[in-house]
Amino acid sequence: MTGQSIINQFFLGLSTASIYVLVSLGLTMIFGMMNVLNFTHGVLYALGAYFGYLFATLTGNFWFALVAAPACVALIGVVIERTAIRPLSERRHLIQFLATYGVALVIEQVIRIVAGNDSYPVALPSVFAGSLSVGSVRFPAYRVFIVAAATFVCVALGALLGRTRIGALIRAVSEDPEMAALLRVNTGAVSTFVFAGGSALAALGGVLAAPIFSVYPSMGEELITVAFLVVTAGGLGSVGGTILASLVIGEAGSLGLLAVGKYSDVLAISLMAAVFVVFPAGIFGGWRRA
Amino acid sequence: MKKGRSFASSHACIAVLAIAWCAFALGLAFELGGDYAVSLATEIVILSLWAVSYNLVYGYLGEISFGHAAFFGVGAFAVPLLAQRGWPFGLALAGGFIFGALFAAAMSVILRRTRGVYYAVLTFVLAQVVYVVAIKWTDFTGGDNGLPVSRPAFLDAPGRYALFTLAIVTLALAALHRAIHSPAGHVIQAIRQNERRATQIGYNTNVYRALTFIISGAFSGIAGALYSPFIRFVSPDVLFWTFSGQVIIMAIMGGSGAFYGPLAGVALFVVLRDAISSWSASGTVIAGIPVARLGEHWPLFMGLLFFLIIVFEPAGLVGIFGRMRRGWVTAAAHAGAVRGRRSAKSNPGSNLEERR
Repeated sequence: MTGQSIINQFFLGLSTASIYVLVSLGLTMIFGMMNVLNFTHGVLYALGAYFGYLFATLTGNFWFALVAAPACVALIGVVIERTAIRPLSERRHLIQFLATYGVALVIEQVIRIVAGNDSYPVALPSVFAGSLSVGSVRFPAYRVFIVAAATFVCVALGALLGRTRIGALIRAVSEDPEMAALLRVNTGAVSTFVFAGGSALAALGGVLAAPIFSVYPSMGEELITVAFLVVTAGGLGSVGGTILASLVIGEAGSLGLLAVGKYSDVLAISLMAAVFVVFPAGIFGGWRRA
Repeated sequence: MKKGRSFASSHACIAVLAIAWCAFALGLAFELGGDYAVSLATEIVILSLWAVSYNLVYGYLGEISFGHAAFFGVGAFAVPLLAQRGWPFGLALAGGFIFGALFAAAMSVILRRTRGVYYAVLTFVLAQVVYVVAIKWTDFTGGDNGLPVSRPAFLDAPGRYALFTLAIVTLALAALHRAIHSPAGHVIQAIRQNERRATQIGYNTNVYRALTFIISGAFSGIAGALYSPFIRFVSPDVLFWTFSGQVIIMAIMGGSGAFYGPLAGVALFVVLRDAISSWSASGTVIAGIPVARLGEHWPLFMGLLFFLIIVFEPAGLVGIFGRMRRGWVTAAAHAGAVRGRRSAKSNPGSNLEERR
């Protein structure tokens, strides 16, 4: 185990964590907004990857796919919010959680009916074919791009929430929806906007992941495990906790490969489960009863 | 709520006997014609035990567990793994119960302070830990390839195994019924309705919550231990979260507000799944889509049905039967009330509605 391989694994872990961050941020934003854990998030990620594949193959332009796929998935998100979340808003949040589970089952099968059970390889955009060298260590260019993109999204999201009017509205509605409604904030529209935005983030993660992991029908049901793990370990609704937990689980899976070989997944998932023994509501969830 | 429960308990013995003997009669009646009906009946009986024990947590305690595949799967793995170590079949079956209980006990330590959405996600995540370990530990579990499971010679015939399963499951259901209608069972329901009040009265609610989870896990373990000899095979697939999703669908579709409600859900689920799967052989084309292609996509229809039941009839099939019993006039009035309601008190049997 050389220093170089450690740096390489660390970087691979960082890029995987970046995808987790994108997907989980969407999930945690939606939860922070409407207290609903969105079970469709995994299939939205898969849909993003499939749309990304579709647009990239049709137009031959990866950049177009990077914008168009999240836009399409955001529209689907609006439909989900209007059919499975909004009509059930008077009932317990767990009911909405279960309803989105039903929707997720349907969407996954629709994907399988339309695209079949095969996996599709997505060609790496030619710009990212090479790698960047820093000293004697070489980083694959595409993975560098993923890390940069995730960082950019985090910063942009922070600016959106903290510095803009729409950000202030979002914070107001998630803090106290009734008071916001009294102040003539259109809380329904804000919720829909957040849900669409969260869906777009899942899709963005899917498009970015597609060239690395290729596109296959069960990708959503695999990722939802990680996403649930990350957002709860970080403390549901906490952005900082989500980013931290994504990094930990990404690195545990990647660096763990050097330490414990094929059991790195076990290490990563057990590490996170251990978090719950100490913090039942996640790292930044405090001690409150969830 | 009250009404649904008392109906369920007063007719409990009749219901369990009726359903058990229907399954049995169905199995025997078709045994001459083929093993298919016997196998269908056996599967329904086994999954019934799983769904009813799942419903202790969902219907009675009022929490969603998304990790019950762990206990079912542990039970399913216990049989071949203990048999390899020389345990007789009966003890291996008991091993399913014991290991189901042990895993549930370990989980409930971690779950002790969690409620609501956290409970759902944490059970999901913890069950995934078991799955990931099982799939990676190939020397022990066979990994993706799974393990073959054998039955003792005297249970080898499908009809005999069906009878054996039916006997065990009936006993287990009777035990569960007794447990949930005991004083401790009433405390559990009190916790669902108002945990703070139950604490104030002096009950250690954490102990009762853990107890419910452990009993539920133990009986899920028996169901799993009956399942792997039934399909003569076990792989980590029975531990994956989508399998947990199936028991949730079955329990809620049937009706979580009544003890035997999940039985109806299991029967509907299994029969519907097989019916849709059998489309694969059909040559019909509807709207340009060959029906044969939809056969393997049965979860699509299950998801849709589950969604509709969640939205329109949270009391599941039991609720639908109840409406039919009350007659169409009152049913229409009831539907109007449901549409207009803000609190769901008018809706018997939908436990999740009680606490917001």
